Amino acid sequence: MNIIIAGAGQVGFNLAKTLSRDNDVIVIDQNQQALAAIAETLDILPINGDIKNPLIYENILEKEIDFFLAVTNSDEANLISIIVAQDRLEVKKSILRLKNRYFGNSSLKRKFGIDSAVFAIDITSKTISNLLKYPKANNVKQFEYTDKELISIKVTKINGPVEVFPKGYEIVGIERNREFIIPAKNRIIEPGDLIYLFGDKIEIHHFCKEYASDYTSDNQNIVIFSADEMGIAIAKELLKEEKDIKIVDNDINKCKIANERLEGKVTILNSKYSTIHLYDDEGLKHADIAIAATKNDEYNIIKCLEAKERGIKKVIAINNDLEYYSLMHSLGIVVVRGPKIATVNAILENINSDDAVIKKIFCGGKGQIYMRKVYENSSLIGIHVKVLKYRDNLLTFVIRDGQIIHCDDAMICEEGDVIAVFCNEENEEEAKNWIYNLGQ
Amino acid sequence: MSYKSILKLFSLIGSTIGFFLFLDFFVAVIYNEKILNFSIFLILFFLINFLIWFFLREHKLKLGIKESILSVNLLWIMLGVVGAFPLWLYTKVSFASAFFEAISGFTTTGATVYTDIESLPHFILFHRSIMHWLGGMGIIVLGVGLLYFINPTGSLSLFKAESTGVKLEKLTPKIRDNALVLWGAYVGLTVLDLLLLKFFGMNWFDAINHAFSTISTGGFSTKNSSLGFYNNYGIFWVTTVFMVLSGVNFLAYVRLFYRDSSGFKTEEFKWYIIIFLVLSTVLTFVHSLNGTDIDSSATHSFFTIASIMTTTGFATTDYSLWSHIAVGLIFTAMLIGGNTGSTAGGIKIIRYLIIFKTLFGELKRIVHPNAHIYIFVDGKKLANSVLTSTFGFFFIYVMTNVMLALYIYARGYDAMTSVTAALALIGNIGPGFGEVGPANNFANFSDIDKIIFSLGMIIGRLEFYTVFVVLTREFWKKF
Repeated sequence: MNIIIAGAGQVGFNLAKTLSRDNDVIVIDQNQQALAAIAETLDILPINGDIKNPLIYENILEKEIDFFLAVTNSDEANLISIIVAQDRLEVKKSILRLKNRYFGNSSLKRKFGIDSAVFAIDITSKTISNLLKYPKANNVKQFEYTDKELISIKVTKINGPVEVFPKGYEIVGIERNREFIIPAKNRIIEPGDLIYLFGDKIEIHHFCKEYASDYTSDNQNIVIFSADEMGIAIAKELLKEEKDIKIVDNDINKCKIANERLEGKVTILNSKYSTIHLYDDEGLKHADIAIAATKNDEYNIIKCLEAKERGIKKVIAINNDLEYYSLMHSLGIVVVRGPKIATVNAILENINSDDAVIKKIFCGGKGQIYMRKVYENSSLIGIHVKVLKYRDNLLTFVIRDGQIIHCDDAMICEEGDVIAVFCNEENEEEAKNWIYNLGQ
Repeated sequence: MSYKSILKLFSLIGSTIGFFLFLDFFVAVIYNEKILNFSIFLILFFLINFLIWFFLREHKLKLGIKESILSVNLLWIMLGVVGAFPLWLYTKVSFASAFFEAISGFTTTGATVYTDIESLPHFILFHRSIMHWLGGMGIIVLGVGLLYFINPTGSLSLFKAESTGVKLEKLTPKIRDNALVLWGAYVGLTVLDLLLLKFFGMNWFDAINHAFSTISTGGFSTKNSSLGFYNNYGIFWVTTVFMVLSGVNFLAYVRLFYRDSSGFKTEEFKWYIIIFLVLSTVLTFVHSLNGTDIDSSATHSFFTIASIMTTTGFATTDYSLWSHIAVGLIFTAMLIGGNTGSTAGGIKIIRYLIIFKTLFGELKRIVHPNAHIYIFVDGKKLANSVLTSTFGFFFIYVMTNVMLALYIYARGYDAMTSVTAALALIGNIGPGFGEVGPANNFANFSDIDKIIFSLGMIIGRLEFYTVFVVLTREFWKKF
């Protein structure tokens, strides 16, 4: 596919890194240094210039562009770039990174010719809201085609290896010592494992109670470190769940803005001189959950460790830089992808999804899910489908009448079936080809 | 350092080279020449490459920057060894001489150790030309284009290590596609040249060999007196035009294919043409002062400047016998080179542009101490790293030439021979002046000299940094 990425920042770089493996990627940016850094390591075509300048697009030899991804930090630049690119090139699909919801939800979206818009801050704040429903979960993913969920749990309640016999759910991933596998037969779990479970919420709750300690702890009182856009969005989302929230920030101006935007429903604390005394003076030590949501990963890690040390049982850090992901995990911090990483994941999922198939990423991109629904008039109904060989790192299931059924040979599709393939990066191409070409 | 990856890359590139060496075999069959030893060599070469590949077939080829740089260096030495074998087996020269000839071929230098070229078997003549042609656009460029399993990141650093110019220029997102379109333009120009040479009276064999030599800006001929043998103005002018065309960035032709003429509107191209025309016209005038008619003077002068400036090294006549001013002009052409992204060697126009613009910028700064002065080429601001690397290149070019010239001088040769031989070898030009002039060759140098000269040619072809970085302690440090 021919893909243009407008913007060579962190989002643009991470998109180019993944997409340039199998596609022809052009990256456009005004920042020569950022562009040079990308071109130094990735096999892409760098174009130095303003993404809003029509002349920039004239030098591109291939005029048919499958995806135009505008991912700069500025809504205005992204919107103008898509108009200009559509005028100069044949853009089949455009995806924009936006902050202002109005552009993405109003009729402007159609007028601008935007196919998809990604609101990264919303994704992150909703993830945190979902996480609170599963107090010990590290991540929760929901799907359009099924009410089954994908939940990751850190195993802490066992002392040695234990064999699990799943019922109503499936183990679709184990991250152990930074290695990730999708187990086909061997379902032995060990203390410290991060287990990815796909299935029925209630059954997964049972698993959590059995294998994750302090599972039933409260989550009513929440402290958020950061009064900037991310902190406000998280607070707004949590207010819907009627949580008691306190926001702490050392910038008085940010505190004032947050107070206005949250209409006084949240206690905002300014920590200009010290945070430590707030644990006693403002009762932060009685919080059930601490969320460090700044743009600085090092600061988020320190705030989480500090909160842990002061007795807060669950600490969540927003992860802005993937390099800190493993470190955060190893320190016992629940990690939620920050807006930039969430944008990358959402765009990658969008590129690989269409009306028939959706793609989801988990475990920082190490795990991939492809799902396809058999609709009422689908040509798949009643036909024999040869299933991919059931093996480690490639599992195929059919969700039929609320049941997850293993597929390891052949199957006959029925109306309402949801076919799901779980795979790692190595098997992705095989899984993708199989699910897109079902019945052919 | 993953030596397995390096070995696997060697086996893959080796097989690609082996495939092209099969063409020698066909030439030998056509001309009914003895090929038993050569056949054994080819079979052994393929077998070794196949065995290496077979034992490492499960190993995932992954090349980091260090592996890529080391691979490119070792690969060019391997090319010399492989290319030398047929010469060593079939002509009466030492292995060092054969190695020199092979390196001269692959680096498109065109310096030869043979005194009687016309007595060589046809397949050896063809072997010399195919070495030029393969080396002209680059072995790695060819390998990256043909071998899809060379991983993209690895191929990027490999490509950079072998490419010439101030920075890697791409036209398509994928380096592999870039390599293929470059080879497409290269093949296209070669075919056009050979058809025109045939049209103007060359036989097919000579036309193919000279087309290979011209487009790669190599300089090996099938005749003792180079192109002078033909005494045919049609052939001279066709070759002049194609030598000049080969000194242009090949991406310009690819752009032209897509109806984009911007490749011919760059400052580098404009200065390349201006310098070529000025030097050729002045040389025509100077040469005609000796009583030569203007037709002949223009033909030989334009040919000679094109040949030297693009670092090809063909000759129509012994220009070292021309006047001192003429020699001075030709010597100037030796210092220039072609465009970045072309098959020509030398310093290259773009570097002179950057150096002069920086110098003028400094002069302007003296007059306007508060002014912000940036260096622009084709309307684009140059990064400081490009300026530093250009000045560094210039310094290292001068120093390497001085060292080699001093070595040759110490071996007892005159100053003119020493200086021009160093320039001719490191600049990948071929002939110089004095004892290495267009009517002479490198046969008289000792085997050790030839090995040193071969390394000089490789250093020049890989534009210094790729070779010298391997000699630094930093390169081998793990931390």
